[in-house]
Amino acid sequence: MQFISLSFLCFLLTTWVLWRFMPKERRWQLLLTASLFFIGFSNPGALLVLISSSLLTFYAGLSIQRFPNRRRSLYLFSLVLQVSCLFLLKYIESGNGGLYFLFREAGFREDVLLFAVGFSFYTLQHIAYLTDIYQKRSSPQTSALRFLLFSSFFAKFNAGPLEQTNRLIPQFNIPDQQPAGLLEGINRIALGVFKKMVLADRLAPIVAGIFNGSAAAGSAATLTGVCLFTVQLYFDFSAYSDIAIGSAKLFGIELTENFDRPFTAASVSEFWRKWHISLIRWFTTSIYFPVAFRFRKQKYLAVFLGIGITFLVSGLWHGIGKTFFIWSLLHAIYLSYESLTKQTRIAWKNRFSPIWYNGMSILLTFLLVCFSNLFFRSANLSEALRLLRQLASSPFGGKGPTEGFLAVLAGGGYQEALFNFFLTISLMFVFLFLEKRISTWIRSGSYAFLQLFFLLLLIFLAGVFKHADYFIYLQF
Amino acid sequence: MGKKLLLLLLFFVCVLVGMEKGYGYFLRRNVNLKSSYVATHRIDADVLFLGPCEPLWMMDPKVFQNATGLKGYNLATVHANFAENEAMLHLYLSHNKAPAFIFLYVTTESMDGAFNLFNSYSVVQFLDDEEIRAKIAEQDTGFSRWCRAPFMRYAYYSDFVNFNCLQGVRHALTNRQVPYFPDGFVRPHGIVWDGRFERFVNEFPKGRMFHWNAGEENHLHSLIGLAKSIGSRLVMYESPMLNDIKPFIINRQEIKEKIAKLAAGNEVPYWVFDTMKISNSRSNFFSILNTNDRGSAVFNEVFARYFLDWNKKKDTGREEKQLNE
Repeated sequence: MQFISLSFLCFLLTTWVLWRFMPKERRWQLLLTASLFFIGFSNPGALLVLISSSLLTFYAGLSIQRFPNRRRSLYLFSLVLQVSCLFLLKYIESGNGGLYFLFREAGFREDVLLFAVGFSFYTLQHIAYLTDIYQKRSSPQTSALRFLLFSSFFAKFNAGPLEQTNRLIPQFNIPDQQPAGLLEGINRIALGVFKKMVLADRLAPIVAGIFNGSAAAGSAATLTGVCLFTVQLYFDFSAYSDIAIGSAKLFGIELTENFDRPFTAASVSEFWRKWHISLIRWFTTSIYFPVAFRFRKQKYLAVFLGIGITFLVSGLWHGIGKTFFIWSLLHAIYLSYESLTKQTRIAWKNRFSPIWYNGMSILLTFLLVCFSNLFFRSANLSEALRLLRQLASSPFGGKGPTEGFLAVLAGGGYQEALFNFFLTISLMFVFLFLEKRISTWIRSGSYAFLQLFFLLLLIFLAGVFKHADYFIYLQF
Repeated sequence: MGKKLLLLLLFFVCVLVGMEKGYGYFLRRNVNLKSSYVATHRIDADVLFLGPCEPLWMMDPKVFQNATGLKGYNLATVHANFAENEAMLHLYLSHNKAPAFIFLYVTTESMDGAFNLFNSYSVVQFLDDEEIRAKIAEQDTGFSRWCRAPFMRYAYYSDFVNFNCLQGVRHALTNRQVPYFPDGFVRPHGIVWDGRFERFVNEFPKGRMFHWNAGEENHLHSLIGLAKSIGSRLVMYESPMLNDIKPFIINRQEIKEKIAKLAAGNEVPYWVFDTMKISNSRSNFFSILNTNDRGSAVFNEVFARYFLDWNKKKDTGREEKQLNE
């Protein structure tokens, strides 16, 4: 079941109405049933994998605490099992051939092969849960069903945010929810739908024209397309998170914020503190800190290895391929450089005016991230190389600005296409400019109704309804 | 809180209903929108050119009129399949007399179903028309599921509709009655080579098998039936295509034979112009099947003369003639 669909709307409404009338102490059971229905509705195979994985993790957690002498071997065994399954299923899911091809040849239907939906997200949560118990940072859960609800909670199941047990499970017992929370939830869902249908999906064809087009575009159009992909990715994924957070809010549950206006970051390290926050927190605590701690005596080596391994794993998590490897390598280089030049940059900062320095830093950070995302979006290395060649070519591909820039980005440059192009770009800039204010409105009561009205109106006026159910990050 | 939300929802639905009425009105006032123009203005052409983008950018009614004396109108629309062609003809007939001749573009692509489709947004302002509603329900199920909700008929394809609606506002305010392309023909002036040939060859280096789509065949039959029922003479034709592409359409001959058989079975002439000299050079095309200004000029002359010859003889069935113009 996809977030932007009639079936999800019906599901959410029905679940909420039932939840309101359910005795408070039984509400978590309703949420569990609803979540299992949500997963099993379109993918019964995924339900089977989820229940097996959750129960395995739950009992592994209990065993780690119960058998202190075997805790290391139990932990490692569970970890290896989870990681192997993750790689196996992700590789099957990737559809690049290999196991996926073998399974398909063996007669498995395409929909059965999608049983790993959401797997990579809840597996990371399971690994973090076991690590916390192993390192004695928390105690294991005592209720298998509550743990299953933690793993399967529908709002965050497909693509996060990644949660921690000790933060989420206590919230399942919250007796009620405030009316303001309900309106905030609705507003947040509306904001997510707006970001997805009005911003991300309107940008999608412009970006696709550059990344999929075989006709050589000039450097100006290519650079614009590459930059717009980063913005599209942000709108698409943060829209998903907004709908997830808003849906949870309807039931009085607070999920972790996943984005914090990442395009205002003045360095790549700051960018990563504002982008996909829950995943980065997972990588930091589960990979970076342990590696850096192990090599803590060699100061620089600890940092470089920590960053390098963290991004290598992150690249692998996103996909198996040269383009993802280059993407992770680039970020490892950016962060290592920032780590090395911290003192020098502080000295520079004091030398220039803060507005100028911050402005330049934000622009440079954005361009560096966009450059890495060129590899993230490219289907293969040859596509990425084609785009690099285009970036090094003349600004308008040897034509005039109208033909070599506008016509390339705006689907041929016809009046109608130009109208849509400028509408999209204007909406994008207005939203980015007002983003902070809009977020405040969403959380406040005073403007909430007006806000909701305008969001809905814009969705109906400028939303792209076709393909609205497809979110980029669902593939990971 | 609950009451406020309910009131907001009610108010919002009222706004959507109002917007739906407004959009419908202004889209019908947009004379540049072919469906609106033909359904609200008298054209009364003797000859109609029907089909997707190929005839839209190729068939010039003025050239045809100069050669034959018959008034023509180009009713073709971009990416349109036979069902959309039929819907356009239906809208045309709602306000105009039946033409004497209808020239329908039919090629291997037309029968495949993967290339042309029913673009609901091009006729959505006439959704209350039974015929159009039935066509949309059959051809565009995703859209027809939503289109009964307030304003969704316009929101669903907002990318295509908003601009036309704004243009409609302008036309209503200025009371414009003549479209930008008065005879429906869009001159391919300044359109450069679109690279579709290269993309096709890249995707299908060993060539592509074209499929015979039963749905398209049914709609072709239905279109022929409609033409017969109004007393118009329908002629199927295939305009020149770039010769370079022919080896990559593996079963082209087979599909052509089937089209010819279908035409003969319905006693409809089928003219094929794929042996013209202009097919040899890319300088006459901007895409695989679309001639440019230069190619179109040659083809329009040839087509008109061919029609005059044929009109004298009034043959039926398949006709294929070696043309070395």
